[in-house]
Parts: sequence; structure tokens; C-alpha cells
Amino acid sequence: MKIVRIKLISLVIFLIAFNLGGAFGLYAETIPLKKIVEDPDDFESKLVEVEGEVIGEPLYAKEGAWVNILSKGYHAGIVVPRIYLDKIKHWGGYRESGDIAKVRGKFYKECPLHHEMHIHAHTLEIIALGAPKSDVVLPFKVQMAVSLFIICLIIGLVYFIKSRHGTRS
Amino acid sequence: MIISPDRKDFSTIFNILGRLILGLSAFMLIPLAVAFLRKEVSPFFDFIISFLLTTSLGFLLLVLFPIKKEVSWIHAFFSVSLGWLIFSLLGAIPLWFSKHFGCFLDAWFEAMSGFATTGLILIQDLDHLSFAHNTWRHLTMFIGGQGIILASLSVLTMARPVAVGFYIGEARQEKIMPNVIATARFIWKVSFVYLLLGVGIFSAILIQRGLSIEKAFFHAFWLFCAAFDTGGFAPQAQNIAYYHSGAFEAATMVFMFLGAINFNLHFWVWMKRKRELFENFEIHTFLFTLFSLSILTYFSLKGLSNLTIFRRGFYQLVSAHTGCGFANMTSLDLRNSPPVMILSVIFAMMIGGGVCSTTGAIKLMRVGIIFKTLIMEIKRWMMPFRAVFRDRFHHLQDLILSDKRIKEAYVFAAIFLLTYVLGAVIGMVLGYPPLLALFESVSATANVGLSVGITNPAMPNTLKVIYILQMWCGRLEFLSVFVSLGFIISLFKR
Amino acid sequence: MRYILVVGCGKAGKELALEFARTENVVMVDKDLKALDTLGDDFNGKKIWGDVLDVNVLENAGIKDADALFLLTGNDNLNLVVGKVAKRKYGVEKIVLQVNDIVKKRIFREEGLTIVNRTYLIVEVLKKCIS
Repeated sequence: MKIVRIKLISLVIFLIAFNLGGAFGLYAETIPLKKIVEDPDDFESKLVEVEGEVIGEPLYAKEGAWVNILSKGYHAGIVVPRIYLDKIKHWGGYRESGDIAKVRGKFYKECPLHHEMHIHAHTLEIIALGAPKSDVVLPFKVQMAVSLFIICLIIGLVYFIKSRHGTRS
Repeated sequence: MIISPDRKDFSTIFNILGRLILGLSAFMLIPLAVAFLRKEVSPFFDFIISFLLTTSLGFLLLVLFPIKKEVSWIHAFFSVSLGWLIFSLLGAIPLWFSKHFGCFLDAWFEAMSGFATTGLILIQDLDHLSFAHNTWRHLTMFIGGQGIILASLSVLTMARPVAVGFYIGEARQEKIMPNVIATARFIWKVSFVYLLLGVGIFSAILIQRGLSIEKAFFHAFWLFCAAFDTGGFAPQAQNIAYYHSGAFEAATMVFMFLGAINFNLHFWVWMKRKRELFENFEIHTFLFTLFSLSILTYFSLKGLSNLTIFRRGFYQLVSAHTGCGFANMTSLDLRNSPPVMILSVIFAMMIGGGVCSTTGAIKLMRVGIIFKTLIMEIKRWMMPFRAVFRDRFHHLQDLILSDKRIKEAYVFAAIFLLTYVLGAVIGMVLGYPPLLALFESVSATANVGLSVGITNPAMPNTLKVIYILQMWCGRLEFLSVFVSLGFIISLFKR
Repeated sequence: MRYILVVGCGKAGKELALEFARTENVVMVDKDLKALDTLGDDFNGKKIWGDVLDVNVLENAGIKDADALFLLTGNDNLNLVVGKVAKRKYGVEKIVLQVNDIVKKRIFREEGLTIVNRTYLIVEVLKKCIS
């Protein structure tokens, strides 16, 4: 009986904590960016959790910096407090894929401070690291380049000989 | 005059094309150099192959087709129209190699969009594109925008009359200086000065925001090409929204305006009378249309803060009116905007910028003439007993509103409107809602580049081809295309 | 590139304009539209249809920026009047006039105005043929 009571009490405490946590702004699961972008009105001024690949580079603003993330073809601009910036080691571009960041923050369809649609991050953590991307030439391209070089040289020579011949005669 | 083309004509035309193609291949060396500097291996080979292929084709044409006939304007017209098609196909090759496109048609679409300074994109995963490829994308806008310079430089050794034909074939009917070569040189000088200014200002802002000097320079150069040539490509998928900066957007607006103004006006303000800027007919028309459409936009976005209206509504409006196509909101966002705002943007796109600028669409001079004639006619109806009078307008000099000018303005506007509607109808037939189909059709024909989302890799291939044709015809203002068609038809009649 | 104004699109005027248009900025003024048309649609210069006695036409043609002015209208008096106006009012550097009447040539030999006479030219060329 005691054990059952303890379990019951823990369950009640857990449920209260969970709901209180909701009142204090605990977040649910990660929302796909697509949903937010397609129905921004549903998320106005709400707390959201998103994740995506960090791309490009940070762009400093008055407080914090802008970080753009990409997830399944959808983008979001996020204002991130500067302390979190150092967490990001890899930025997505040609050379490497960016770190996957999980951001928790408030979404604004029309931010009174920045006047655009974006997320004010409260926390940011890296859940997956980026990696260098391969930049290897396919062998057929090298072959094509070499053969074209020869072809081009030949045709070019023919042209110059022909134009020389033309001026002489 | 009956145009009866023969083999000699074709030989001459292909010879001119050969020279133009060689000119294009020279430009390909620029992204090649970028790939080398940034150590981007695969792109380096992409551009070597494209460069060699284009150069070989150019030389081949010159070898096979010597100039048989004295070059005349009909040759120039034909090579301009054909040239644009061939440029887009050749320019698509390095893009196709980048593997950022679903199929070659998409790469061709992107290249045509670049050369026609449109800005509609089908590229995928733009954020991971190499610097070399991105440089090429933006360079196509530069080449397309300043086309006459390329043409007159490549035909240096040929008879001068050709250059004139090119100029008109490219739909720039006002010569800034009597000699076309002098005109080309002036456009080049002005563009270069603005290039230095633009790259300077843009990179300054970007460096201040934290970009490295190298990256800032590249972004600045790319965006200058897109802004001044009123193209609208950007190095990142979010377009201008990537930068999240009202100040930066304002800077781009300055260069969008500069690119949309008649080059003649640039010449007069620089060299002759500064006051011309305030007295010019096209500027007056522009102020009128921009102002009225801004009022409409303002009221449609009521409820949002003023700064937001400026950044969302006004920015898109200016981008549309100047034919640039920069966007600081997603196409989805644009699609979900109030219908009145979408309509204002459509009207702005339909009108366009100045004649003899890098813009597309019907253009300010003609729109101004249309409005003025309308008012004049209505006045005449109201006062039937008044003597017949001829109205005047001031464009660099006082000009008479002659019947010829009026007719030309109305005919051009009619052709453009017809094309806008035709593209819209085709879009609707393929299942898209009417307002959106109209938006996209106007964007393609007027070479603007704003999109409500119809343009994406998954759209029907038929529509891709239709938009390619619309971009091509719009850029050349139909004239060269029709003349060339007439040429081909007379060939079959023989 | 120099800015050259040619007034009078006769045989000489047309050839001169076409020749100069290859390398300079050329503006041709004539009050006969048909004469202007002989230059062709692809003339690499500017055509102005107007009476050169009208100051507006002159200014439109860009006389203020002209480096050289050729007056080949066939009407001596007209050539001379316009030539003097160009010199005095607009300070055009080089002015060349074609004058038919040799008598006038002697009277109006003025500094800065070069006078050319067809008969005299032919005579000079013929003389050289057998010299």
C-alpha cells in the first residue's frame, strides 16, 4: 500500500509539475518550420521549438545576432543572444553542411522591435554537428575537359590559319 | 521592301553569332577565376568545360560561316533574338553541372531568367551553392543588362551599322549619343562608376554586420549586379530577407532606382542639366504611379506598424516597379498578403521603369503617353468647340505628342497586356488560381522576378517553357522576335 | 570621339556623314525629309529634320558641344549666316563652308571659317593630274 501511495503521489506531483511547467512555458515537441511558415498567425507571440541547419554566417544586430536556419526547404531567421553564437562551429555553405541547431524561443509574425517575421531565441543547442562536404571532381568531367581542350585548340588553330590565309590572298 | 533571305544572309548571321558567343565565353573566365581563388574544385572543372565548349562553338561558327554579305540591320535583329536563346542554353551548362537543378530545363530556365534580368528561380538548395556558380548566376544578369556593350565589343572588327541594329534589336530606341559606339562607352562608364559605388556601400554595410571582407565583397558584387541590372537574383534562398536589415534594403532600393532610370537621363543629369531630373516626363509618370500604388498598399496593410508597411509593402512595390524582383518576404508570405497589395504589385510590375534602362515591361514613357492622351481626349470631348491642339511633353527636350508616338505607345502596351493575360490563362488552365497565375505571368513577361510560389521545380514543364518564352520576348520587347519570325516565314514562302 | 554637325544632306553631305559616322558622333540637319532618308535607317548618328535658321534646331542638334560644323546646304548666304552665328554665338572651333560663288569666297575669308569652293577644288585636282 505504501508503495502504491508513493507512486500515486509521485504521479500527481509529476502531473502538477507538467502543467505548471506548461504555465511557465515548457515547450512541446519540435514544430516543423513548414507549419510555422504556412500558418504564421497560429503561432503569433507563442513559444516554439524548432530545429534546422544553420546556414551562411551570423549577422550582428543590436542585441545578439541573426542566424538563418534551413529545414526541409523552409527557412527561418532567428535572433540569437551572442553567448550562444560560440556554440555554432559549422555554418552551412558550399564547403560544409551546418550544425543542426535546436532553438527554443518566441515566434513573431510581426515583431514590434525588428518589424519582420522571425523567432527570438531563448535557448539554442546543437543537436548534430555539421561536416565538410565532398568537393571531388567526377572523372568524366576531367576527361571532358581534356578532350574539349584539344578540340578547342584545333578549331582555334583552323580559324587563325584561315583568317591569316584570307588576308594574304 | 521585301526581305528574301538566302544562304549568304544566314552565313553572315551565324558569323555574328560566333563573335557574340566568343564574347560570352570570355565572361566565363570570371567564375573560373573565382573557383580557382576559392579552391572550389568541381566548379572549376564545370567552368573549364563550359568555357572550352563555348569557345569551340564560337570558333566553329566563325570558321564555317564567313561573312558573305554586307552586314545590315536585319542580320543584327536576327542575331540578337537568336543570340539570347543560344546564350541562355550555353549559360545553362555550368549551372546544370552544379547538380543543383532537377533537370536541364530547370537550368535553362535559370539561365534565361538571368540573361533576361528577370529573377525567377528554379535552383535548389541555393544556400549550398559554390561561389563560382553563384558568381555566374549574377554575372548573367550583368551581361543581359548591359548587353549592348558586349555586342559592340565583340563586333569590333565589323561594320559599324551592325551596332545600331543591335541597339534597336535590343529594344533601346533612344540613342544617348549620335554614335552608337559612343553610347555604349558611356553606358559602360556610368555602370562602372555605379559598380564601384554599389560594391563599396553594400560591402561596408555587410562588413559592419560581421561578414568577412572577402564574403562581403562577393555578396556586394552579386547584389549590385542584381540590383542595378534590375535582375533580382540573390546568393541565398531567402533573397534579401536573409540579411534582416532595413538599412540594407534601403541601400538596394537606391540602386534599383538607378537601374530603372533611363540611361539618357543619367547622361543629361551628369553632363548637362541637373534640373532635367525634376522636369522629366518619365520621372513625373513614375512619381505618379508609385505614389498612387503606395497609397493603395498602405491602406491594404492597415493595422501593421508603419515601419513594417515600409519594409513589406513599399519594398516589394519598389522592387516590382523597377522590375528588379528583390523580395524580403517569402513567396508564401506574398501569396497570403491582402489581395489589394498583390494587385498593386501586379500593376507596378506591368508598368515597369524607364525606356532605355535595364528594366522590362511596358515602360514609363509609354504609360505616361497613354495617360496623357487619355486625359487629352476626355478634355476634347468635354470641350468640343475648342480648336484642335497638339499637346507637348518634356523629355530631355520639349517634344510633341504626335500621333505616331501615341500609336506606338498603345500598340506596345497592347502587345504586353495580351502576353500578360495569355500567360495568366495558360496558368489557370494548368490549375492555378487566377490572381496568382496573372501575377506570375506578368512577373515573367515584365522581367521582374517576384514570385507567389508558382515558379518552383515541381511546376509543370509546359509552364516552365511558356515562362522562358515570355521572359525572352519581354526582354527583347517583341520587336526583334517578330522581325525574326517574319524573316523565317519569308524563307518558307520562297 | 568628336562631335560633328553636318548641315545639308546632299551628295557630299551624305557621304561625309556616313564616312565620319564610323568613328565620330555625327548629327545631320536638313529640312528635306527625303534627303535625310538617303542616309538609311541604320545611320550611326543622329538625324534632325528642321530648318537650320531656327536656333532651336541648332541647339537641338547640339551646336554647343560641336567640335566641327560643316555647312553644305547649297545656299551660300545661308551657309555664311549660320557659319558666323556658330562662330560668334557658340564658339564652334572648326567651321567649314561650301561656297559656290567665288566672289563671296574672297569677301568672307575670315579666321576660323574655312571656305571650300567646288570649282576651285576641281581645278586644283585637275592641275595635279598632269603635274
